[in-house]
Amino acid sequence: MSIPTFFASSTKSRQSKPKFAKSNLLVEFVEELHSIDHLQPNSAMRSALQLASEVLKESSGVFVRERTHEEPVQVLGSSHDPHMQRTIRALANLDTYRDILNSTSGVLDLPSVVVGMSQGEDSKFRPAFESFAGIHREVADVRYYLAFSSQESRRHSYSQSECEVFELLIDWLIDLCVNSSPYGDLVDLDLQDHFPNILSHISAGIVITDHQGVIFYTNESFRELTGFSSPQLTGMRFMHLLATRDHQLREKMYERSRVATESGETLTCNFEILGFQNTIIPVSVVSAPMNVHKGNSDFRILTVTDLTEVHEQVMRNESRIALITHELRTPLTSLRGALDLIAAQLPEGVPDSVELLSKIAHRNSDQLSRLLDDLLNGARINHGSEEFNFDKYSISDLMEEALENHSGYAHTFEVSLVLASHHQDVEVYVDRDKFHQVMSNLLSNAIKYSHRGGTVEFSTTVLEEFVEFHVIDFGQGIPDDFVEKIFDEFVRVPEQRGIRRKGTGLGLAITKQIAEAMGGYAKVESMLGQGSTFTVGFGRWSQLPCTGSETLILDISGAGENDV
Amino acid sequence: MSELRNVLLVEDDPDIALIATMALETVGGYQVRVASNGTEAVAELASSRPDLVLLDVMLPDTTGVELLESIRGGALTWDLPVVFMTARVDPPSISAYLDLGAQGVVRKPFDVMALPSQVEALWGAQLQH
Repeated sequence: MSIPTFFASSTKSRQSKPKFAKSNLLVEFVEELHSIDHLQPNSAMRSALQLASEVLKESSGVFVRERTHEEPVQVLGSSHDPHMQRTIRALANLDTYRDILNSTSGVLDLPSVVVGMSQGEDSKFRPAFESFAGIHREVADVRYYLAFSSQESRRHSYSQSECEVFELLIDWLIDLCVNSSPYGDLVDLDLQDHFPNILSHISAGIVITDHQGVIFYTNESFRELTGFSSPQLTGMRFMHLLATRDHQLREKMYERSRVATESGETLTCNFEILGFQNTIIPVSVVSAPMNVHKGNSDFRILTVTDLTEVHEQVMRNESRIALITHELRTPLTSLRGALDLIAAQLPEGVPDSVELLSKIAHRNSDQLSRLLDDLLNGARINHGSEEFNFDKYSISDLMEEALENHSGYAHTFEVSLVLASHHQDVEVYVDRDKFHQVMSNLLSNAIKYSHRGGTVEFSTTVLEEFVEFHVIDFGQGIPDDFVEKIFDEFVRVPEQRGIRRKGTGLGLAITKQIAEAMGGYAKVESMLGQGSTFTVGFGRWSQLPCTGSETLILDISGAGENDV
Repeated sequence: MSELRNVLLVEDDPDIALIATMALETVGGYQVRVASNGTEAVAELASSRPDLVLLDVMLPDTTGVELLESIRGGALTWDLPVVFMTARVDPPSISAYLDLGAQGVVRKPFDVMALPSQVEALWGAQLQH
């Protein structure tokens, strides 16, 4: 029997009852596979068999393994489709994502199992799937693909037995997609006894996961919040609901939840999750250990609170501030302009007091104008309407730029600005302009508050995930009762002799807001009379691949030997 | 046409219009005509051609953007240098204005003493172009 690439659609109807019962699905599948006598599996098939038997081995239905480069089995699908995501996760509960565009060439040369699903005639995933040798079948308007992308299997014909295997595998795939939940049994067993109806009537979302964060219970409130049904959520990793394209953030969240699980601690996080049809839902999650054991698993109970309304309230306030600020600018434009013109047209011989008053008015209108700029700036950042262009930058380049930007200012104040440490070159992941805005606030403050002839040091500490930038001055320092609130809005250290303030009281607040908006932080240490050290931390760039937004590839290793 | 002489200022706030006019006339030495809305601006443009148009973004009967589009579409005005005056000067807005064919953007609140030279510089850059 010869089937051309890509195979013709199977004629077998899928309207009938599922072939395999839920619990025995995999056992029966492999038995059936072995009952085909004259099976001569090639390496791709062996991969598929390996995949299947691995599923069997792990009674929980979850298998996570290290990826080896020799012969990964790859499962490919569209990440926009929550249904497909769940299926893929049920197949291979893995965290490694790669952009299909970056790895297509790799995929094609490796013996890989490609599992996919596309909906509708114009699905953009269809050509990608159909470039592999394999089989597809349609159930309702969804087309399921199963293919082998090894060089070897890109030949044009397959034996009768091989085709039978394909048929079996795609049955298995569709059963997984449409009918089964690997956690179906687990849910019935314990939870009904331990947590009767109480959970379903709590207004907060409740999710129970196993030690790997795989969901096997959700209450009604959580399902209502996300818009997903119980079968859609069951078997999915909770972390996969995380709505972020930031790979580093995702990794960080995984790591935190893993550590919390190991140590049995309770974890509270605010983040956004992705609901049905990709709605973004801000939530607060409290994840606590639950003293129920099943096998080796420690379960965790997650209480999920919807923050949508809280966020909307904050947004309303912020946009109100932006609006008011904008409105205040118009009269200020006239006021400043009028004062400028008066100053320029003052005739000779006016009393000194007139000139002085004109200067005072002018200076204060300047101050008001800066204040509005800062308020608007802060409102934009809090409001989330500020755009950030993240990229990786070498810290030594950034530091040199910052020093250069402030050398003139330091000169004016007769302060020497020195680079106090130099590390091996490390990269940070920041928006360059915003980085400089932060540094400019800190460096100019430090210069301003230094004694004449003093020094301001600029140094870094490289940590595992962050790079800390320190701006150290040896000025007056900050009184203890101000250190805590120095980053709050409109907090200023009382004026010291000989130092003239020009600030708006918003600079440090904005500095902190920007640092946090970039995933970093800001802090201060100070000794009265000895000086202050302001520190901002920004995320280190590491070689983590970026998450593709449209298509994902999950790698599963440990497939059989490669005989290519 | 080698010297900037006549400026048409389109600005609905009478105070700002007056101050900008004074700045441009007394400091810069230009001739300024003021239109306080889109209709007046169109009428002014029809009566005589200025060397440059300074355009507020928010106008009572139209927007600066729409006015710019009609200037670019006019047979006699398509090549007129147009400079926006606005408080909205975040980078995405600025590049949007430039994409629409504006020569530049003057930030509000503007520095009265610097306004004439700012306008002159934008006008000069346009000539070289």
